[in-house]
Amino acid sequence: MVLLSVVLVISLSSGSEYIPLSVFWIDEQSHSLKEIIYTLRLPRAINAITVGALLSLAGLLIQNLVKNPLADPYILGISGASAFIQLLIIASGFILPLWLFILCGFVASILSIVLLITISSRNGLKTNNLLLTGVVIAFAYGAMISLILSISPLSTTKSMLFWLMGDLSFSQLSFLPLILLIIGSLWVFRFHKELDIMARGDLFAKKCGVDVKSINLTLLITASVFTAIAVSMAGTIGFVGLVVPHIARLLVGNCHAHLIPISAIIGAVVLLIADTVSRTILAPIQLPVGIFTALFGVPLFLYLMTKRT
Amino acid sequence: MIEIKNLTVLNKEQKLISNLNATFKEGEFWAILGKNGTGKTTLLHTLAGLLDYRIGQITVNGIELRSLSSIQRAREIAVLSQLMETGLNCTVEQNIAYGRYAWNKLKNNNRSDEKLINAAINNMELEELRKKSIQEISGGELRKVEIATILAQNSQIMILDEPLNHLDISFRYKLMHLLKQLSDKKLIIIVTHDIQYVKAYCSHVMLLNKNGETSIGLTSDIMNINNINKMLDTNLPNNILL
Repeated sequence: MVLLSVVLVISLSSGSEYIPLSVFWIDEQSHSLKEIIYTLRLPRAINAITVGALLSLAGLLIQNLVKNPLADPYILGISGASAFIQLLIIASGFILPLWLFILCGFVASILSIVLLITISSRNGLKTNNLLLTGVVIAFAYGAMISLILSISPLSTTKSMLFWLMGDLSFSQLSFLPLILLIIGSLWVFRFHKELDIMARGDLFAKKCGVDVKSINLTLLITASVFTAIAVSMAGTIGFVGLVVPHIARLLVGNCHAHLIPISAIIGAVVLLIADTVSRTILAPIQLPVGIFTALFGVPLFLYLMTKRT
Repeated sequence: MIEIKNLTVLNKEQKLISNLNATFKEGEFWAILGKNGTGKTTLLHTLAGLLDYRIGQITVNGIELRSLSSIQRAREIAVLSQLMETGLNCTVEQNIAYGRYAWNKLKNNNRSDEKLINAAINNMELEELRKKSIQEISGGELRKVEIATILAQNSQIMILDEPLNHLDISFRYKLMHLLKQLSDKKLIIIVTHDIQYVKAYCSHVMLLNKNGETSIGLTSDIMNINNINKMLDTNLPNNILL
């Protein structure tokens, strides 16, 4: 939490122009600087925190659900649906209000999840069915996204690529996602004991008396909603959902009572740092944040791996 | 007590056992024997509530098995299956404590929970492995951890699929002896291929024959060479029972 606050302060002050936070208490003619912080940097920082935490939690849940350390929130095609619809909107040239744009992506993701669950739960919600169906659906979206990219004019392609690599520059000040994140985290935390047992194996958990079927379904829906919110807000920011849960495991072990909060915080910090760097390093040019999540996350992860073994 | 009425055990669409009737009571130590593929494990998983059944009826203390919630079922029935999952990391001690989930949801282990966990660790001789990760221990040790977990679960009915697998010979005797003791107050059902252990420790047996027929009753009545040859579809001499 301390780390998160420090990063937040640095993030708010840096950018195309360095603004010391002292503008807030040394009140001079700094109105425009405050304006920059309030309308541009603060919303963006809050969104980075929210999206980072949501993606990490979704990754943690999905990895537990499919018992596969390589799984990430995008593996089941949840993000593909949102990205597809949003790219379609960009490509078609409609200018939608931002909230409607986000909502379209969110609705598409939710529809995709409903489709996924309906298909894969025909013979009980089996891990392999779920994973395979999800991956195949994701491929279909991938193909359609490539199609859109290849037939759209050059002028829009760049903004689409940004979106696909993850982009927080659309941020508006809205506390709704942050509130959803807090409620969602508390909701997930309720299941931390069950998650501990289920990490050991679904059959094992079932034998111990865990209602595996309904908890799996609940957590799948929760993870999907998290992902849908994150993707519709900021595109498909890679890496955070895949690696942050592992970083958290390397730091605090396998107990979900610690893993849930730590994953959320690390996810928030990683994305906030990455976003701050992405809009600062070549300022005033802004780079897609997805590049930097990987550039920062990979060394951190590798360092922790070698330290452990 | 488990009562089975007119149960047909299916694997997908193939009938394994048809029209099974049996009553298993506390104070009895049952062994289910049969050749590979006769449906022992499927039957066991069905009795344990891990697989659903379509034809027939299973009741646990008078209540239909499938109407029990997961927690109620785990309080009544503890199961050891053949398949060992290791999943993500946890310690031996944590793993055994998970056995208490049905009773305390792992909120806080009180003194009686601790007592059961420690007794299970003692019985399975796992004291030195307590803090070890389940991924660092051997197959036999993992088996002991799984058995300790269901001992900690302390359900009235214990169902074990080939509990002797992976264990060394001295420990096999120890385990059978322990199960025999437990069966004073509990109902124990095991699947095994070790005829000698069954003769020495089990009070009742169910033999599954190839054609889906069964021989059910007291060990002393059923475990003779004729029935065993019928079950195995062989012509073995009498002295293999010694």
